[in-house]
Amino acid sequence: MKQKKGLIIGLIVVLVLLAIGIFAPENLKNTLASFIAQDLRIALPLALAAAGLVFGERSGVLNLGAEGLMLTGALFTWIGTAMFAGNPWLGVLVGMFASLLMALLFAFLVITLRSNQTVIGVSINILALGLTSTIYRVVQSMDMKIFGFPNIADILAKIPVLGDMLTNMTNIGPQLALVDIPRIGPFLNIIFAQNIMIYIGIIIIIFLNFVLFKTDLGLKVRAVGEYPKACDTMGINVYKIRYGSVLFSGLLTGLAGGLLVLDIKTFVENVTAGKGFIAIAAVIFGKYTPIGALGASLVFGGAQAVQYLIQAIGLKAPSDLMNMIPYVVTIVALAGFIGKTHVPAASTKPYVKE
Amino acid sequence: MVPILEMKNIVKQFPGVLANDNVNLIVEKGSIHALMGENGAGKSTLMNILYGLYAPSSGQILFSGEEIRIASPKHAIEHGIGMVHQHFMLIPALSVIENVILGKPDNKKVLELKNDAEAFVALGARYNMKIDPYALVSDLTVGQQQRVEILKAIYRGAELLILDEPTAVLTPQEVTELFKIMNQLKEEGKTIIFISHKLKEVFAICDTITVLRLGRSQSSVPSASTNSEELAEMMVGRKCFLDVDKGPYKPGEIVLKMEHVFTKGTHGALSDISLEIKKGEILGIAGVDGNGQDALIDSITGLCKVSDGKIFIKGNDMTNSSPRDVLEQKVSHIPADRHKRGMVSTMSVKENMILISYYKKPFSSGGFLNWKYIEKNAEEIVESFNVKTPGIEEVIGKLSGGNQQKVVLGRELSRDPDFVIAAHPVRGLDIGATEYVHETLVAERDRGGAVLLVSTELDEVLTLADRIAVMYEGRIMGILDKEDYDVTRIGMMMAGQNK
Ligand SMILES: Nc1ncnc2c1ncn2[C@@H]1O[C@H](COP(=O)(O)OP(=O)(O)OP(=O)(O)O)[C@@H](O)[C@H]1O
Ligand SMILES: [Mg+2]
Repeated sequence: MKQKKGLIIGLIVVLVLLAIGIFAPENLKNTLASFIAQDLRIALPLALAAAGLVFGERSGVLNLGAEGLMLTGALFTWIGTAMFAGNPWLGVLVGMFASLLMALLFAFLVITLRSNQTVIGVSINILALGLTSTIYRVVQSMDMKIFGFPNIADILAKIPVLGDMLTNMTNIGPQLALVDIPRIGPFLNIIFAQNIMIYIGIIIIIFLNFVLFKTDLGLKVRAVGEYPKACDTMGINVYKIRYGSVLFSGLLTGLAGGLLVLDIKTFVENVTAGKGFIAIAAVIFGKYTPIGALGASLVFGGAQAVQYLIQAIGLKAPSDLMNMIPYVVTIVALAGFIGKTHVPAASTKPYVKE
Repeated sequence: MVPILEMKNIVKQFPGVLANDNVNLIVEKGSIHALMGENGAGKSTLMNILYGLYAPSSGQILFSGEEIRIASPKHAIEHGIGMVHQHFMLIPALSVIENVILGKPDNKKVLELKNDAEAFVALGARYNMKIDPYALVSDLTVGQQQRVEILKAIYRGAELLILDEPTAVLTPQEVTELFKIMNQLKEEGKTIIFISHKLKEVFAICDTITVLRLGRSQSSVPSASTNSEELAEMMVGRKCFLDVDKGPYKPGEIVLKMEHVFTKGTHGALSDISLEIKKGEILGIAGVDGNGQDALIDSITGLCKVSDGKIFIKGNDMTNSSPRDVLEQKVSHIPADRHKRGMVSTMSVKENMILISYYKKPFSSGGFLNWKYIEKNAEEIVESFNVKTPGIEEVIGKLSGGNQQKVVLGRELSRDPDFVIAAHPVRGLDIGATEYVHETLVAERDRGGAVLLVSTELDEVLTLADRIAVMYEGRIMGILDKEDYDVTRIGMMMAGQNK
């Protein structure tokens, strides 16, 4: 029922956008399209991290160290990309692996040793900030060459036969053929001409939603976060499920961190700047579902994209005030939302087997 | 014929507690076998060992004549052992069918909920149980949840079904339903181990009875060749008086007076409640669970808001007072749900003993707790209420259910109350303790206290109460004096019909 409501909202948004794309005046269309493109670009790392964290939270582990994991993933993606001659795919794998190791440390402390999740989560953030800043200072002088992920049009153009139908060749490289659709073409082109990772990310998130709600594994994850003792009596290994969920969320937060770096093509200290926490907020705002988290991330990402929009329109506002927008939106969204959503009953409670 | 189950010389040592001390248990296939014994006798522990939740310190388990090792519930389920726990093992946030198939080893990677739901509904139909497989467990009544638990075990192929105090939380009608199901399972050749403190039930449904006492197996007898008195003596080790002696009924001045009280709420809200309780009297509230009993107690104790009407305690207007102000009127409250409202499970016995009085002299002075006095007081309550615990430092959550209840009772009744509110005070208690609680409540009354007794056990209300008020959908259907007690009439009133 509730899932349907989200779907309907999504559908309405798409329809409204299409209508604008067809009927609105040219400059409004362009502004809006680049706003959406920005939103997607900003939201996707958040959404991927949040979708991973959904699994951890659903299994009963609140990972406040998400910010730290993301930061670790960011630094090592940067280093990895440089190591592999600028290859973003291999770089991101290195980042995910580093974040995985951090998640393993977190999992060991809170699941096996049953330490307080809040304390350990915060400590992981401090550890990661210190660690990444130190390593960064050591390696920053190295010559770093970073390429981002290829654009969807570049990939499509390489497909034999179909490629020619889906893309046009221009002097700045291939372009999506949908730009030729009358009226709405250019509008759609700005939105859809994204790097390939955005497409992959959305597919991953939809797939994770399916896993969580339609598979045996997903059922176990959801159950363990509600009533671990009952799961034990049903022959489920609570520790195994929790380890798996936390490690998996580590992989995705690492990937999210990597995407940040590949987006701006460089690493700076504390490059995540609270995005890990916003991802946690997206988990809650998205009602602990991967697709919900994507929706929430689009809202939060939109709050940030508004800054660019305001600049584009030419309004003058203090930039510090502008920078606050996403954080304010996050707080307001959560404050209006908390208590209205079902939090996994065993969230943050360690499980003791008799 | 080889018995389906043989447990030999089972020993289970917890830190400081020898819960099972060389227990032997033989269960025949196709029988209903009762396991009885005092609170803390080790019944749940023995069954948890059988179900693989606890590892025994030593001992042997033979299943259909073969020795097996049950290291985890997974093994137990594989061997066809199913268990319905004293506290249900269902996940409220999931649907019925999700609970049923959770962790089943033969589940497909991508669940086929629809197929499972169909099979589950068909299984339910066989036992005359109608349960919506897609309903959330949190929306089910306690009785329905229990049926889900039983079906879940059978759905997973249980041949031997353990029911740990299944009737403690059921209404009389639900108990009758449960017994029908149990008999049908027995006819199909399944075996049931049934734990209960109620002699009547055990005689009604069981073939054989095994009694545990202080962690040892006393004896096993066919239920046809024994009687209530003998059984009670086996459990407690002394003669029990299954009836209570009450002094003459001499009501005094009014202690509680409710005038046209209303509360707001979705279900079980009060509507136009007027009643009074006098010194030296027990007023019993009869009714099916969920008909406003909780709101009645909450409105008196200040735990919920009264939207209209007045409540007086000893002549003082206490309408919408804070809970502490109510308690200060020498009111004691034995709550229905001890886990939620009676105790803090992760705190020690002695800490739980002062939850109400910690701020008062002599428990504390100048903001500092007086541990010497607190400990002495706790020792005394443990002693006089016969709480079975390794010590007052023990975490209360580790005590057996009945002993937790005794701690709550001890705390409330040792406060020298003028007015006692007791909601299901013997839920989960053994017969010795039940006898004790009943005697204590009657003694309270005999020495001039007022008692409000809420219970879904009609028998309990009939024997103890001087007057009975029957509640239905938040209203009082009528208040009967002792001369007018009539089970059929009360039954009708409980169902919402008057006359
Ligand atoms: N996990 C545990 N740790 C320590 N002691 C325990 C634990 N579980 C049970 N005990 C102790 O073992 C003894 C037996 O408890 P058990 O729960 O088996 O009693 P029971 O016969 O089921 O009682 P009741 O009728 O009250 O349910 C009790 O003294 C209890 O305090
Ligand atoms: Mg028990």
